[in-house]
Amino acid sequence: MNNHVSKKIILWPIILLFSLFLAIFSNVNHVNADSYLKDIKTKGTLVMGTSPDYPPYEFLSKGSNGSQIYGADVELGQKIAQDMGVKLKVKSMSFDSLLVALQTHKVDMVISGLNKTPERAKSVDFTNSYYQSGTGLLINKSDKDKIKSYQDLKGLSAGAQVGSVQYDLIKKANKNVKVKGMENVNDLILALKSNKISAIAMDSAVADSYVSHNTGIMKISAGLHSADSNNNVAFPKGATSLVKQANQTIKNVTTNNLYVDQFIPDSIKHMSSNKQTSTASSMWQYKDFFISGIKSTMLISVVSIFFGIILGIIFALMRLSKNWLLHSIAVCYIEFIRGTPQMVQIMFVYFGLGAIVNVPALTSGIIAISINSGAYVAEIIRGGITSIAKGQSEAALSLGLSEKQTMRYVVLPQAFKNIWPALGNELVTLIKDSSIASVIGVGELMYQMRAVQADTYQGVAPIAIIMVIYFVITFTISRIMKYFEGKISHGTND
Amino acid sequence: MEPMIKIENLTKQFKDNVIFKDVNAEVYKGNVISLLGPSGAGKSTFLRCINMLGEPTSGKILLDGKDLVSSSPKELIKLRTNIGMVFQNFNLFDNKTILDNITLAPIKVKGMGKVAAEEKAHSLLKMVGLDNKSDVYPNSLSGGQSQRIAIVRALAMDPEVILFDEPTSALDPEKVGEVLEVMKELAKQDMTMIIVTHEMEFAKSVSDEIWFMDDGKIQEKQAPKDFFENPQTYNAKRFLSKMI
Ligand SMILES: Nc1ncnc2c1ncn2[C@@H]1O[C@H](COP(=O)(O)OP(=O)(O)OP(=O)(O)O)[C@@H](O)[C@H]1O
Ligand SMILES: [Mg+2]
Repeated sequence: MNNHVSKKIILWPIILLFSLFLAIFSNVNHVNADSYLKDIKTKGTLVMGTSPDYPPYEFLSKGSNGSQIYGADVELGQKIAQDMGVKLKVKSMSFDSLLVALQTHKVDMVISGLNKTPERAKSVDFTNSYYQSGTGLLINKSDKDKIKSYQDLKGLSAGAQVGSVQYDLIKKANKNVKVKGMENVNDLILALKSNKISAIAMDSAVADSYVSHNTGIMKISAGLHSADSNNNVAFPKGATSLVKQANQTIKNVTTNNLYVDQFIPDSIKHMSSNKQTSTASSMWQYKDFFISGIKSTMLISVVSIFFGIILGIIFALMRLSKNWLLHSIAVCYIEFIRGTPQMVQIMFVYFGLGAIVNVPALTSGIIAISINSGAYVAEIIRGGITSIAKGQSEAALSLGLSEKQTMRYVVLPQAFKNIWPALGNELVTLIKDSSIASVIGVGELMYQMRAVQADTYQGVAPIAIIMVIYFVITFTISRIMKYFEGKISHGTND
Repeated sequence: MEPMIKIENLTKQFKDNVIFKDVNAEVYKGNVISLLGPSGAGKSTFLRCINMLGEPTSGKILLDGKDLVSSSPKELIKLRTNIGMVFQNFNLFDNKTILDNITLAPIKVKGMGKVAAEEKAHSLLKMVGLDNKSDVYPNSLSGGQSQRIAIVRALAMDPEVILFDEPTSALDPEKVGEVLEVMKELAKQDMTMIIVTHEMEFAKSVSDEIWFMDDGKIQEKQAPKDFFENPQTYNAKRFLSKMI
């Protein structure tokens, strides 16, 4: 009965938290409509969001300092910024996140091979079209007699990038096709080459650039036509001043045919030429990518486990506290975090919290992962504390130590000794899970692997390499933890 | 002379289960009390109330006139330093060496210097013949050694009174003697002690007073000779007949 009541009351902080965030979000959407252009001019930078896995429109390639985003869309972005008299800053994120980023003002503008569709137009404003693309089908050369158009895909499966126009097109065009959506074009290519899917529906120009870098696949005309194949620049809903300004630039670009004659050819120059050299040597050239990925991954992991342990101690003690309020807060935090996917938490911190204060992606990733790890560590620590025999703390209290001193000098040191292996596991899990931060564009190992994949058009080798790297890191960490376990375990039961 | 400890109308219940009710008792400085009674009588519960490890339901526990039950957490800590406790299972801190076990409270609670605290610890260890163990961890000690260390740990705080809850019950029979020796020595030095024990011979020889607890009350408070030779209550008679 008692329990029942307190459970109900525990819900309140969660509801409160939610209403708070809802309030914040609804505010975000009411930014004063036409100060957009003025604001950007005062700021001096125009932030463009793009998903750089779509050559030749946008892609990652080796630049002067590590991986850099190139592409015809980036050149268009430069032009728009130039005409506004400001600098362009390009932010990378997954295609799915782009429009959210726009709505939450993480970016000022999205150019990412984006097609204007009625659904999208409900949440963002589009400029006029700057380029008309077509849809092509990528197939394995061995299938060229079997698949001549999308009609031949009956009963087969085809892939497309999640959230792309092609995804909807192929889905609507042929009800008998099993459509597999993937985030990343490189994964689609891998799936095609390994016969997991029979075709990929994608932008025609993009398909061309993949064909030129991969033997064994070819492009056929899809036979799919859609009014949606106009590429447009997206701005936040209500940013009329920006749309107007950009439309002037676009008019200039289209009348002079700059996009096709200049931007695309320029971009292709940046596309890597080392496509079919031997795997080992070509991967070695990308060691800087992997090294910088290792650095970020380690940074995220070490900082997050540090804060995770601090949060873990605080919330474990709160949960064990006799104070009802502290206890409930801790229970809410722990249960809520453990009951929601980490990927969602990361996106929430970056896009949600980021709507109030501007936190960079890396910091957002660290915050989210620390908070997540804090909940798990709290439960580990709580288990450790309750496993210490009551007699230990009673003895300390009987000697006149305060509850705090008892925790600090007697219970926690023993608890940590007991939970050391579990903490080691948590650190290893955290290192592996930090790869999720790549969804918001943090340049950790997973992200760098994507970059190398995009640059080399090699799907498998980069995966194998980061697998080995992850293993070496986690294995070393386990060994180090074991070593210290031996050091701190003297004195008891050995 | 005022009693050092005065217990007034002390009652303890767990939910509806009354363990003891309205107990009154006094302990004078230098006295050794043995608290006897059948298993489940509430002896441990009573002892743990005296230093507030278990909170009494009502009543007062006065130490030198100051009530522990109504004192603030801060005052309680202060008062507790005057009451040592020795447990059945020793409860030495597993993560600390013997020396650190003994010096932890003097340093952290009394603010004693490390050197002085260690010096004192060594001299107490010598008294119980275990100075050679100062640097080892508790798990390498026998039960008898552990309990002697636990007594030293309590003594290091210079308590006015030490509570013992069946200090020899967890020991191998051949180790019981070495612990009882130490306790006898303390009695000789006029340490005030309240001892819960099933060692009847020891209780008889060392105590100034026997308290017999049963049925939620202290049924008898007697000089040892009177209690063992001439128990007054039926409960005490039955208890003693089972003991022998
Ligand atoms: N934390 C508790 N919650 C509920 N009941 C308890 C608790 N601790 C003790 N009791 C009950 O209080 C009664 C007295 O227990 P206590 O341990 O004080 O007896 P005792 O005289 O010390 O016995 P023994 O000689 O076996 O040690 C027992 O019936 C026990 O079940
Ligand atoms: Mg007992």
